[in-house]
Amino acid sequence: MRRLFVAVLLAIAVATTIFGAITLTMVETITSPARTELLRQLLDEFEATHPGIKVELISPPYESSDQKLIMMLNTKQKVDVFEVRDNFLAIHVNNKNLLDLTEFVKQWDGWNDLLELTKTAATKVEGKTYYIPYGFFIKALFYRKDILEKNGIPIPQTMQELYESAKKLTVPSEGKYGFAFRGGASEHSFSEIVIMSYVPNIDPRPDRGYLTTDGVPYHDTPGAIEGLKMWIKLYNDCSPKDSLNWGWAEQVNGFVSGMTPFLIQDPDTVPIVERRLGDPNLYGVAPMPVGPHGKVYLDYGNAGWGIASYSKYKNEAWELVKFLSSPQVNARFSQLNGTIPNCKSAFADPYYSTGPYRAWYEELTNPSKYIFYERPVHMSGFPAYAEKHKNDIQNIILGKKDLNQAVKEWAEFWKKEYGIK
Amino acid sequence: MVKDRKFIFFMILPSFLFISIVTFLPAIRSIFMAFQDYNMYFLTKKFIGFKNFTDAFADPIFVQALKNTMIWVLLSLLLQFILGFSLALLLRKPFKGRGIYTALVFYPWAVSGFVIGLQWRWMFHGSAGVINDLLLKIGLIKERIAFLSDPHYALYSAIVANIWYGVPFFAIMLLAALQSVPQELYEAAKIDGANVFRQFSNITIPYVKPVIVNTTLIRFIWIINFPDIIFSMTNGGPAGSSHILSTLLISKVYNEYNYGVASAIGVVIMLILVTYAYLYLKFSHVEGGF
Repeated sequence: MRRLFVAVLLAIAVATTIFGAITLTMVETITSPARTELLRQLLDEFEATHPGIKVELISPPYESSDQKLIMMLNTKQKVDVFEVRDNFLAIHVNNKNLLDLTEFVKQWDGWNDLLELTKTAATKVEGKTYYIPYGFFIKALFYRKDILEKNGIPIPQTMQELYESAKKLTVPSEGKYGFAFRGGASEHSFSEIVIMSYVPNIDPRPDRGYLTTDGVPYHDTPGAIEGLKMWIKLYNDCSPKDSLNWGWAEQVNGFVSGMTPFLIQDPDTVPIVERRLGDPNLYGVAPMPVGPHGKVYLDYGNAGWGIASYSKYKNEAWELVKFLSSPQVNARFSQLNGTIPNCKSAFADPYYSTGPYRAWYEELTNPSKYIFYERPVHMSGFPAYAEKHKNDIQNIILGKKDLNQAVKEWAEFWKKEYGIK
Repeated sequence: MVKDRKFIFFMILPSFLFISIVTFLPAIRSIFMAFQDYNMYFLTKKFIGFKNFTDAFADPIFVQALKNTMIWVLLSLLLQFILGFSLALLLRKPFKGRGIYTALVFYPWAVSGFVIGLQWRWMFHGSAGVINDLLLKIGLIKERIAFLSDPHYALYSAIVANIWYGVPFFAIMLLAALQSVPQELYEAAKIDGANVFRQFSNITIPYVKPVIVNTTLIRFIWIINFPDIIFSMTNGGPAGSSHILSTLLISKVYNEYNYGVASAIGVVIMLILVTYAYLYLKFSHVEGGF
């Protein structure tokens, strides 16, 4: 038996020298120069430990990378491993471009080390494992330590406290405000945290996004209306006027300059805030304040690595995915990427168990207070809803749309998407 | 003769094929897409008739964008032209330091529209922007204006940036044209007793008219298809109030992944441009065009 094994190995070795090494093609989409450099470095290490496999990395510019990847997959260009972002997962599955990894995963000992959240995300489509998430974007509350201390304001534990503290800090005539409101692109991932925290019964199952446990959209329930009013109060009473159209850059700028000392953001904002403030003692990160029912619903944006269904080198591709998902590699990648790592053992690293990341650890390990749900990003209506939500909230604030009308339209939208009568 | 024709045909063929592949084919393809259910979630590509068009027209933001496109193009074009022409007239006669001055005037033209949008976005910033600071110091306003978050100002702020960007184009083109007007004509006119205004309207304008017609025609097409500044300054916001058709098209592709409706908007833009170009050339009586 052993002889046969050696013979096969030898044959493979001879074959690879004769026919040349296998080249895997990998496509990343959340592209940035620093990240591409690190990825290349990791891939070089992979090549060194896996002789006979070369990896070619394709890094399309971020602005159109997802569109480019989808086009590459749909025209069956050579792609073996690619970055799967949660909001494109459904597209890849619908177009039958993602390989079901369930069989591979069964024989992988790394699976048990993954966070529960990682497993939930990985298997959310029909219970099949279509990708291995490498990390999460989860919101937490950034605050300016120096400004809070100067004004004797404690770290808010509830949404109501957040509002009251932010209001106390707001002095428009001095250009001081409490809250870095997000009104521009992707505002829904900010407003919904506040709005939903007022709803007592959101259904956390991944295929029930935006529904309550009663099976209806949350949007026009009494709690949600109260939550939306709170979100609008946060704008009217605590935020600069132009934050109505603020995006990420303006939010971070407001926070770093001290104009808006409370900021809701993802972990990838930590390195930027730290670099721009120049002093890690000037800010802190706290778990999200909770709503009146003692809990807050957090969505977990994520991305991971998947394999093209039509790849010729599925086994080699799986080797690469396994390598990228191993705890050490994942921890290194997460640090630069600013994502929350995908496995339990990564939190043993002091980088994650102390300092700002402690807030996210708290959120991940306290399921009675912090409930993770998934937005229905897999449904084809989602992008249109996100645009509508943004425009409607801006119009409500500008006094051009009735709040009750808007929530009714959002609820109707999702009733139609889910086919609820 | 026949041989000559054949030879010409084969000489033209490669470039014709090349242009067909890179220009005509995608254009025809996008017209097809305007009638298909083409979104990234389900690549069904079913033909659905005019549904993309009716969907687009039923959207109040589309109607707003259509109006905005007209305001955007006409205001930008008019002011770019007037300022550019004035600059060209000023730069026509030699003066000390004209080289440096000309270089400075032409500088905006060398910068990418997206970068200009980002610069102006910070200048118009409601809390930290320099424009608010200046207006406050001059005493024109009492409190800061959230230019980019107020539907009354958002589009016009982008127009200001666009004017700044486009002035050099007219200045360059018209300056070249002005320098080609024979000086003898002005001398002759002076002898005949024509004043400056007569000289301007009877010599300068007729001479540079072909350039004026051509440049305004090109600029119209460029401006209508120039989303960079609005995209980077307001991204069409707040609440879609500063969208023009080309930014709305981008938003349909990149925010909603709806290629069908985006193509329908593209077809509308194309129709506007074709109609405009036809009418413009017909009524401006310019022989030859480009």
